[in-house]
Amino acid sequence: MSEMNGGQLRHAMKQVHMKENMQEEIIMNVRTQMADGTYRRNSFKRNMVSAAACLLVIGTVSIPAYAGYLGLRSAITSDKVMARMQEVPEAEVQDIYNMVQYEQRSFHADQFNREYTKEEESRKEALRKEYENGRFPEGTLTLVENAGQAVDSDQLVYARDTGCFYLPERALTDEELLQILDFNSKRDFALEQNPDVQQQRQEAWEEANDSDTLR
Amino acid sequence: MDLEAAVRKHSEMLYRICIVILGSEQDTQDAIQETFCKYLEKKPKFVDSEHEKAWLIKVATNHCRDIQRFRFRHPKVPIEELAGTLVSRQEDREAVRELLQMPPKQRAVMVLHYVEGYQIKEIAGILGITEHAVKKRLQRGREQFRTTWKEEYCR
Repeated sequence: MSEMNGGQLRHAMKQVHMKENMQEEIIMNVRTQMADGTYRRNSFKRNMVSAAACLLVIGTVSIPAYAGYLGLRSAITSDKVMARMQEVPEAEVQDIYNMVQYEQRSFHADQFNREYTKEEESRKEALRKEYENGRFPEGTLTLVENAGQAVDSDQLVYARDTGCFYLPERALTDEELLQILDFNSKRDFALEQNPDVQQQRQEAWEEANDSDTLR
Repeated sequence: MDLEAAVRKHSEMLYRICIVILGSEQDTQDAIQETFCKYLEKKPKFVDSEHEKAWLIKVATNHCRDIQRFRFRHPKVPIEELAGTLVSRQEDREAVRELLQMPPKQRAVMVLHYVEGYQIKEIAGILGITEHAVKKRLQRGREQFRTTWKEEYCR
């Protein structure tokens, strides 16, 4: 092949891109497959990963911080966020834990009444960094018992019965995005307080220490 | 392992490779998903990002091979239509169409060499074939392209 033709092929293939949203679909589907056992073999390691991913998948549709939880360390990596979580009243942590247990039994992932816009996605990413550095919301996410109560299209709410975030039709404000980030940190934190989860993490550590290095 | 970061970084590259091997958007997505499932399952330790990239390509092309052998799950799109979907410029479309008309094994080698910039020895390692086989596939691919370009663009 002449240089021109090699360059032509390279140029042509560099114009090939995934369709919009395929990355998001892949991330969501991988997490779901790992969580629900669709991708399954009979190894202990796979079982461990699936168990961790099952916890992971709650909220992961939009919250990348959950990726850290898959393995072996806390999903909450910021000392400031961890300090904030430790101030959450025990009753609230227990309530959130019960809610997450219900979510795990009922859903594979959070639902959203609409997708984040690109602008919201990018702002959320920037705010996540600020959140980890101590910029916290002034209020808390409004939780409603069932989707029927999410009637105001201008208000951000989370419906417990469907595991669905109802995002307002308008663009989310910084405060609302921070509330979502905060809510997900609380769910992480509540999960991590559970003895079963702590046991899984311990076993995952031991498993990782036994794993082979890729050759 | 940070799944989201890995998908953001490598999935476009995997997409380019898998789509030309499989010729189906859905099968390509399946292959990429299974690759990242394995990524989470195995938690391989990488020396650097090139090592990570090569590992992902190896796993993805293995999945493509499995799909081709045992379970084409979705109908293949006609080459002309697929080329038109993937790129818009006429000359790019011709190049992609020409690539898609090659046997799948040849396509993978061509993309790894001319698009991803891997050398023969590296491709042999990634695909688990001999350097001789890589050379032969590249040679055939070059000949096919040379013929097409001579006919189409050098008149």
